[in-house]
This record gives sequence, C-alpha cells and structure tokens, in this order.
Amino acid sequence: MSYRGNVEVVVKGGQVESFLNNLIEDGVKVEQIKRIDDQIVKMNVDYLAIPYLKATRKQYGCKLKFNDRSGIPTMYSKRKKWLPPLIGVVLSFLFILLLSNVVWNITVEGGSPETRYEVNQLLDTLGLKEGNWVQNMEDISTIEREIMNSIDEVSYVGISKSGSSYNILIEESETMEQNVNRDPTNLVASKAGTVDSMFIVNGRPVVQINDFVEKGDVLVTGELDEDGEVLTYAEGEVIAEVWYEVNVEVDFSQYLLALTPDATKRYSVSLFNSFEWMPRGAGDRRLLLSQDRPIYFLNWELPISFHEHYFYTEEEAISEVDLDNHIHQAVEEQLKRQLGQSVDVTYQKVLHEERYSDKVKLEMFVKVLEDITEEQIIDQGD
Amino acid sequence: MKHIPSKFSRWLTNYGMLPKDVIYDYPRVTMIGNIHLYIENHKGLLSFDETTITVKQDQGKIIIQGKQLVIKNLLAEEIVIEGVIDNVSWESST
Repeated sequence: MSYRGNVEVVVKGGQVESFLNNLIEDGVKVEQIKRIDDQIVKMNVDYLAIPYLKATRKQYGCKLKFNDRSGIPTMYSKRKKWLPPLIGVVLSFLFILLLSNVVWNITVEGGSPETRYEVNQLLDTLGLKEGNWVQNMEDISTIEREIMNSIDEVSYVGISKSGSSYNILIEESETMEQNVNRDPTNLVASKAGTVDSMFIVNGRPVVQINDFVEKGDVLVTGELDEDGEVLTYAEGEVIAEVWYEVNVEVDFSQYLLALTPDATKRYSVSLFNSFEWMPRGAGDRRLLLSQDRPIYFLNWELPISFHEHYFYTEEEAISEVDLDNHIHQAVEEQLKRQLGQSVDVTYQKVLHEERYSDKVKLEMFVKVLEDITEEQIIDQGD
Repeated sequence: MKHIPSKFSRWLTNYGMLPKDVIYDYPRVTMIGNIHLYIENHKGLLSFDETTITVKQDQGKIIIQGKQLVIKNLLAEEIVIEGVIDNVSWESST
C-alpha cells in the first residue's frame, strides 16, 4: 500500500511496451504490470500521473480504463463519512481514560485540625495529591502504614477510594486518663540483679542503688506508712544490672553479598496480570521490590496494568570482611532479639567459642541493664 | 563509460578491483531463488506477457521465461519481476 494514491489502470490495445518505456523515461513509477491477454494489460500508477497518461496514450494508440483506487488518500476519501466520528469517539475514550487516572479529590475526616493538616502534608509527599497521577502515588496500604508510623496521634487510618476521589478517615488516640482509683500495687523484681538506677513515679522505694535483689523482692511498695493503712499504686522504673548466659550463633555467609546502594528502575506492562512484558530487561540483577500501578477507566481497573520494578546489582563478596566487627554486630543483634529491644548491654564476655566452616557458635556471659519491675497487687485481705 | 577502451576496461576490472557492471555498462541481474528477479541498468521493456518478458539491454536483450510473471515494479533504471522463473537467457546482437 502506498501513502500516495494509486490507481489500477487497464490498458487496451496499442503499443503497450513503448507506452510503458515512455512513461518510465519520464519518471512515472509503474507497479504490478500484468498481461491479461493479447490486448489487455493491467497496471498500477500513481494517481497524480493520470493526466500525463491521458496526454500520451494517443501517440501509442492505447485505450485507458481506470479501475480501483488504493492508497491512503483514497482510503480516507472512501471513509470520509464515518471516520471523523470514529476518531472522535476514540479520542473521547482516551480522554476519559486519561482523566480516570488522576486524583481529583481528597477529603480528610476526623481528628483535630492540626492532625488533619499534618496528614495532608504527609499525603502530599506520598503522592496522594489532587491533580496527581494515580500511578504516581504509593499504594493505599503503604500510605496507611506511613501515616500510622509517622504521626503518633493517629491511632487509625482508613482510606476509601471511590472513583478518582479519596476519603481518608483518621481516628486520634485519646490520651490515657490518669486512673486515680487504681488498685494498690507493689513493684517487685521479675529477675535477680543489682539495682543501677531508679525512677519512681508513685509509691515508696524500699531498695537503694547498688542493692542486690532476688526475683520476687519488693522494689517499690504502695504502702506509704509502716502499718499498711495508707495504700496507693506503685509506678516507676527500676533499672538493674542483670546477668545472662546466652548462646549465640553467627552465620558468616550472610555477609558475603554486598548490595550496591542504587537500585535500577524498570517498567513493565502486563495484561490480565499474566502476560508481562518488560521492554528493557533487568539482566541478571536481583529483584528488590515491585509495585503495581493499575490503570483505571472510570471506576474500573483495566486488565492492563503497569508495574515498577527495582533491581539491584549483586556484587561478589567484600574482599576484606572485618570478621570481629561483624561478630560483634551480629551478637548485639541476636541479644536484642533474645532479651528485648530496650536492653542496654554493658559487658559481654565470650566463655566458649566454636567455629565451623562459616558459622561461629558462642557461649557468652553478658551484663545487661534493663527494667526489672513487675506489678503486683497488694492483698488487702478482704 | 563507453569511451573507455576495451583493453583498458579489462585491465580496470582485473587489476583495479572495480565491479564489471560499472565498467562495461552491463545490466546487473539479481535473482532470489526462482521467484524474484531484479535487473538494474536496463534500456527498456521490449515485450511481456505471463510467460515471457523481454528486456532491452545495451547490446541485445534479456529474455525471462516462466509462469505467472508479473512486473512488480518498473522504473527508468530498474525492473523487478516476480513469478515462477524457469529460464533467463541472453541474446547478444553483436
């Protein structure tokens, strides 16, 4: 098919060969020349050359008949009636498609104005912003998590999406009311240890710094006088030095892969979530994270969606691994996992060490500073 | 390049590494299997039908025989023939 209009010409009689030679000498491009019988020849000619054909045909005694026209100009003129409305419909569909993927309206409900403002600010940075592409924003559960994590006052976030508008409902946590009528309690030691420091909010301390306490010993009492008549609740922290013997296993193999800090971003398109096509392959990089970016049409999610993938390049081992430092870090991590995140390791000593090919087993003695208080209700005997 | 003496033109193609079709002003004929034939530097169409196409060249004519022959493209310098080509022969007038 030619982008210029073509005409099928039937030439009858005369000296067709000479006629053709004359045509090509004058630069007319002739295509698909076919002899039907002795008299008739069919061929395709550019339709702009028709006047020239008509002018020269008499010299060679040919009769011309013009049949089909083809090529884009003729195709257009044939479809003149219904093509523009069709193009219009397609364009308007595209327009709706485009607009369906824009965030139009965001309403934040609930909470105090300050919190709402803070939430709004945060939403802006997460891409949930009026006029933004839906594909450019983080997905809803990420936004919810992000709000919950970064704004302390918010205790619940619900994001509901209706069409291209988003409604964000926030619930603020109410500050705990001081319960004056609490039951009288003591604080007792949950573990044996040496008291390092105390912070008593309410009650009467019975131990002193550097005292050694056994498990179950009373640390802070709710009895304010000796006779046990004035009772209150005990509240506070008693930080004590506690000893542990722990077994730690450190695996070296996990330190053999180093990550390069910058991830490579790749886009892919998928149909029905199954046929995925990534124009620029990821090579042998390792997938770090992929995010789905659905495409909307009005309220519906289209089966076509595109995805964002982040890859990182894996590099072979760090040439010089500071093993001792790594052991130290890994031990600290494992201790925190075993004893709780808030503990403060003050002293550690390896009692026994055993090394395999890429594992180290350690038996350790550690001193840790932690809060050992445990609440215990004072039995009033009634 | 008719003015190049024949001795010199032979020398040019043998030792000067120049293609023969350029030096001798011959048509260049290229075939793809037996379905496609391409002639450059022809001097006009002499006669044609479904089984025989005769193309004029400098010192004679090229006769293409076959079945269902169609001239796909016809230009001043080149001609493209498609169909089932059985025979391409050369008729020299000199």
